[in-house]
Amino acid sequence: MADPIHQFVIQDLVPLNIGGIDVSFTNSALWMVIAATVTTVGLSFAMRQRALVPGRFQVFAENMYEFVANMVRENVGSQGRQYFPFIFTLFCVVLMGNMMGLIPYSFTYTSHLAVTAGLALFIFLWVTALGFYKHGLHFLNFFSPEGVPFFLKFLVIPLEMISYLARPLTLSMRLFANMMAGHLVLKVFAGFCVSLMSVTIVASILPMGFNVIMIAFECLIAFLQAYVFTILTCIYFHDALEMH
Amino acid sequence: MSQDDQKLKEMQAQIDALRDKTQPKPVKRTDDSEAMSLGMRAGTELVGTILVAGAIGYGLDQLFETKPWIMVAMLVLGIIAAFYNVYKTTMNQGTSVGFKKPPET
Repeated sequence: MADPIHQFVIQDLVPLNIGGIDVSFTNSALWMVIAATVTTVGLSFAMRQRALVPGRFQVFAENMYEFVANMVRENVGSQGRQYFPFIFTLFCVVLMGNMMGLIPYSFTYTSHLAVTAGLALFIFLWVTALGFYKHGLHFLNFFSPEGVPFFLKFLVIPLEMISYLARPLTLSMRLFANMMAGHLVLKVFAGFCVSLMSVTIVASILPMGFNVIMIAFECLIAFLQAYVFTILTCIYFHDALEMH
Repeated sequence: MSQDDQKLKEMQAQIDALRDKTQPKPVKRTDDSEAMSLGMRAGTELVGTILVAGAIGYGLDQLFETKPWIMVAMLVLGIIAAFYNVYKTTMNQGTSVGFKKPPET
């Protein structure tokens, strides 16, 4: 039976070593480049006509833009507009990583904790720096919600601080765990399919049918995880900009 | 008096028109993606918060050589924080800071 973990192995495509640091071009990096290229070229291609009555591709591109724009407007507010380019890029990166991972023989870079934790830590540090930049030391009031009785503050402030510090972990873990679990299940059932083939071909239809359903489900998960990742980034920006 | 009211009304209409122009109304989604995203968040919120609290406690224990007391205390706090956050999420308050009255709908 095929090893279900094997699909997550990072392989060096172009070994590179600069100053003792391994900066090889890996299959993970290759798929990031492909994702970036497909997004950039695809969106430019879709918008090249700028028609008043949009065609199929333009509708897709406009919908994607509006989807993220609405998300930013609803969750960050008018102050969040200047962060829209970053949030849109983030959405594209995560969505493409999840979606292209479903193509057979591709590599899902969002199924690695290193990638998602990198994104989440970057967002966390930026948002914290932004909070201190906008509000100065008043940002620390963020941890002390209004309307809490004095004695309860000794409990609530540590709770809020722990929840705040847990943000990068929960943000990255959710995406990575969902993507990895989904791909593992797909692979395991594909393995069943091959093993059962040696018994009877009829029996192997069952796991195959399950995989067909799983692929559709994974498409939903891929989109939903990108949505959750982006909306939480919006909420973090909102917290830093407006506090409460 | 009524002239002033009239003027105020006109001004308000102008302000509303300008606001609509600069801040288009968000399109309300009718699908379940929002609800599903909330459900997705609850699970990781529960586990992640406890893990982070435990890790902070472990680190502080290493620093002050007080094994295992800070870690135990932090774990308890982490569990409380985790359930507190899940509670806030289920009450539709999001995970940002503070405790609000349930939104009126």
